[in-house]
Amino acid sequence: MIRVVGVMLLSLSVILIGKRRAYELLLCERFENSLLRLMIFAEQKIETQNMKLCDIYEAFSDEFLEKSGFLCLLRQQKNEDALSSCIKKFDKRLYVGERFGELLSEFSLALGKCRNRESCCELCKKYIAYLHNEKENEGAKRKEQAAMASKLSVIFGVFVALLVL
Amino acid sequence: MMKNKLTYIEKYLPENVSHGIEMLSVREKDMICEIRLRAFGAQSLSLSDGRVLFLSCDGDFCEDPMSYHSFSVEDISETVTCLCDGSVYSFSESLKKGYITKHGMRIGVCGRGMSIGGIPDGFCEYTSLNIRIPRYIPSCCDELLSYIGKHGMDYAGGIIVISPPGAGKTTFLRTLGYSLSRGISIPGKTSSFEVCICDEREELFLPEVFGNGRAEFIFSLPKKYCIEHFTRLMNPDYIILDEIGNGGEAEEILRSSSEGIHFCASCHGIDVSDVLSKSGMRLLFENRVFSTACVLSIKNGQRICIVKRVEEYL
Repeated sequence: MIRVVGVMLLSLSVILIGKRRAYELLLCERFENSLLRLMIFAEQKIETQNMKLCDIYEAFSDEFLEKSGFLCLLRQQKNEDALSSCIKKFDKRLYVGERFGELLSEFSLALGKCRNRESCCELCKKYIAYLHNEKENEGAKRKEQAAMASKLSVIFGVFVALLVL
Repeated sequence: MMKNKLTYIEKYLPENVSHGIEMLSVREKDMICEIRLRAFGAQSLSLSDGRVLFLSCDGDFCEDPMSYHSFSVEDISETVTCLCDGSVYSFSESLKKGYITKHGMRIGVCGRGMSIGGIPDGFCEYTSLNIRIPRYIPSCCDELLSYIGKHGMDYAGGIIVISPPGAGKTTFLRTLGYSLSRGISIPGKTSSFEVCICDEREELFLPEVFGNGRAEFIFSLPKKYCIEHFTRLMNPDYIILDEIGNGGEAEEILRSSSEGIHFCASCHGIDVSDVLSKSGMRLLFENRVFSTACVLSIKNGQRICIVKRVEEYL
């Protein structure tokens, strides 16, 4: 009996690891969508109202970023490169692709230092396009990987159970 | 009691400057008029008693340090970014004119300029900053107010405040604007006035001063537009303008003045005769837009205000 319970626990944990990985990959998708929304919002606010970044972060709302605590942390940052330091602080809790994260940090460091509204909007548009492409390219792969991780974990779980029993 | 403006600005300054300021006595802190930061130069504080303190390599401000602490261009640029709340682009219009306004403080910037077709287009690199700490000195226009009390408002007419840079024109106008809007004692009664203030560089308005006042403000717009707007829509008794004489606003002032509005304005100069040499100002003086001149100066750290009749110089 104990052996059966042990085997069940073992295969369950294998399945859960796979599911967790699949969940993380899907989280990436949601994070990247929300961050892109933030960038588009910023670009619009700068173009139409010449709004300061701190006011943009205050005005922006996104349920997913709110719940994850990212927006709250972003609004608390009082230094000149709030977004980039927030990305650093969020570190492993920020599920974005490696290249996406690099591009985002690069963008956030340059954003506040733009000399005027026009160059700022230009920079936003450029990076929105880069990040959108990156998300599209990675998104399809990520969905496949998530499905694969999910399936593999079940197969491995069953396999482990059969092997031990 | 007005909160010292230093408390607002300290968080934007480089750490060693704010630490150096922190180490000063309370009296010295209250006397700071200007904070000057320079790339490859000395960092200094100008005090209201005329002393200048420099930041030493040991991290404290003193009059004659053994060695001066210097900043790099990157340090100054970073401070500018900080002062712009990390959004330099949102200050681009004022930076083109060479300044940033923060909490009613005017911060002048210098550096490597750029121009498009000969027109200045801001800076690509910052090398110096001059942070001017605004003050509210309730007694600074006492001489003028007692003059008005003695002779009456009609006799005093329009008021021109004349002084060289740094002698307190803006502080004087701020106090005058507040006093006129709150009410001043004229023999037999207390009169308050509808005061409209054109705050082109956002340095006249201090929330601590005007928070319970009655003055109307227009911020960040050219004086010419403000005068027209106030005259047409706000029915003012007084319009207050800082630093006239350069913007070709004389005609607009003259037009509004003929509609019975008084002006209180400031102008760079040493004396009335000095200001009269400017053609736009002469036009205003000859048309009796300004009847009273307040000539400000600083001697031995003391502010001096001399009230004069303009007609004596015509």
